[in-house]
Amino acid sequence: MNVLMLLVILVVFGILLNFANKVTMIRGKRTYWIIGTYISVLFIAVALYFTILNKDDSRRGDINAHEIPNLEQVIYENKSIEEFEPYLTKQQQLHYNNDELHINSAEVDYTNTPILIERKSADDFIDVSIYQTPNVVEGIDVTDYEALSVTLIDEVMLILLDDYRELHLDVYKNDFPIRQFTGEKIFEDDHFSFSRPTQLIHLSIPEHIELTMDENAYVHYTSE
Amino acid sequence: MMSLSTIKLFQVVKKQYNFKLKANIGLFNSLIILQLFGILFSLGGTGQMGGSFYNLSFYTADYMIIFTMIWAFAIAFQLTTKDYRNAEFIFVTNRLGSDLSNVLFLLTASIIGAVTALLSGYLSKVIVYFAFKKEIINVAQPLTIKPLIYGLSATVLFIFVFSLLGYFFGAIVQLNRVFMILLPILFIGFLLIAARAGEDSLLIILFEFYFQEFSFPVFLIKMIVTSLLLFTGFTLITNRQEVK
Repeated sequence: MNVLMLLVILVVFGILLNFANKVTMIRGKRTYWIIGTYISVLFIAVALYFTILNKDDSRRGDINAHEIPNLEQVIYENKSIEEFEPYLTKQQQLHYNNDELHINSAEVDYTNTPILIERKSADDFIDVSIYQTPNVVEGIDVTDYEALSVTLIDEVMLILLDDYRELHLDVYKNDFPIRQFTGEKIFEDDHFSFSRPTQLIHLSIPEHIELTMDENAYVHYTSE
Repeated sequence: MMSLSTIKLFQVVKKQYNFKLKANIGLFNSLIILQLFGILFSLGGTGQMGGSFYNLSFYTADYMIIFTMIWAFAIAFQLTTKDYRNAEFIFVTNRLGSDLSNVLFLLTASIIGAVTALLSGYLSKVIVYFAFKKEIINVAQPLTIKPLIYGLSATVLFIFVFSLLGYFFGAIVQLNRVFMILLPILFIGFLLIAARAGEDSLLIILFEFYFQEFSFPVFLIKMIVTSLLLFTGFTLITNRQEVK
C-alpha cells in the first residue's frame, strides 16, 4: 500500500469519523436502546454462527498438501501409473476403427497436462483414463471442477477441459490479535498451504493407428 | 496506611469515572456506526490472495478492530479538548485525578470496543453466508480458552494503547495549538519517510515490535510499558495546564 492510498483512506476515515461523531449527540435512554440492540444483534450472530455455519459449512482439513503427488512423476520418475490409482477420476472406452488419429484439444494447458500413450495390440477400442489430484487449500479438499473429457469426432480425438472456471473460495480466519498468538499466519500470502491440481490423460491406443497431434502437446510414450 | 489525600483522590477519581461513563455514553453510538462501516467494508473480504486460476477472500473482524482502534484514538483526543474538560469542573481537584478517571474511562471503552469488535466479526460472517450464499471454508484454529483470553486481551490492549496515544497527542495539542497543524504534518512526513525506507523504516520496526510479538507475556510487558510511558508523558503535559 503506498502512502497516497493510506492518505486517501485516512481522509475517508476522517469523514466517517465526523459523521460518527454527530451521532454522539444522541443521549439518554435512546443511547442505551441503541447499544442494547446492537449487542443483542451481535449475540444473535454469534449464536447463528456456532449453530449453523460452524457445524455445517465450515470445514477444517487435515490433508497434507505435500503428500499429494504430482502426476508428472509418471513421466519424470518413471513411476508406474498403477501407483496413482487413487486419483483415477474417469475411465472410458472409445470405439475407433480408423488407421489415423489426430489428438487435438481446447482450453487444455498442456504444460500441466501430460498425455501418456501406451500402445496395445490391435483392436477397435481406445482406452482412456483420466487422473486428477485434488485442489487442497490449508488441508481442505476444495476441488471444484470436473476432470478433462475426451471425445472422438471423425478422426480427431478432442480433449476438453470440462467446466473450467477460476476457483474462488471464501475463507474464515481468526482475527489478527488472536492469530498473533495461535501461530496462524499474520498475512494472507504468508506460506499459505495450497496444492494445485494436476491432471494426466492415459491413452491405450492400438499400435496400428498412426498418430498426429498438436505441436504443443505434452506427450509421452510408455514404450520409450 | 493510605493517606487522606490518597483516599480523597480515589473517591474523586471514582466519582469522575462514574460521571464520565454516563456523560460520554453517546461516544458509543459512534463506535457502533464505525463498526457497522467496518462490517460493510469487510463483506467483500478483509484480504485477498490469488493466483492464475484461484482466488481466495478472507473474512475476519480485522477491519472492525482497526476501526475501533482509530475510534479509541479519536475519542481520547476529544476528551482532552476544552469542552470536555470544562464539563468535569465540578469534580476536579487536580489534573492527575482527571487523567486517571479519563484513563479508566478509556479502559472501559477499550474493553467494550474490543468485545463488540470481535463479536462483529461473527455478524459479518453470518451476513456473508446468508446474504451472498457463499460456500465458506474455515481455516481458523478452533478457539480454546487460552487463545481466546490472549486474543481478547491483546485486542483490548491494542485499542487501549491507541486511546492513550490519542490522549497523549490531544494533551500536546492543548499545550499549544500549533501542534494541531504540526502533528499531522509530522505524521505524513513520517509516512513518506517510512515508504522510502521500506523494511528498515521505523514504522515497520514498530509494527513488528507490537504486532509480530508472538509470546503473550512479552507482548503484555511491551503494552504495559508503552501504556506507562504514554501515561507519564501526558500527565507531565497536563500537569502544566490550568486546574479548574
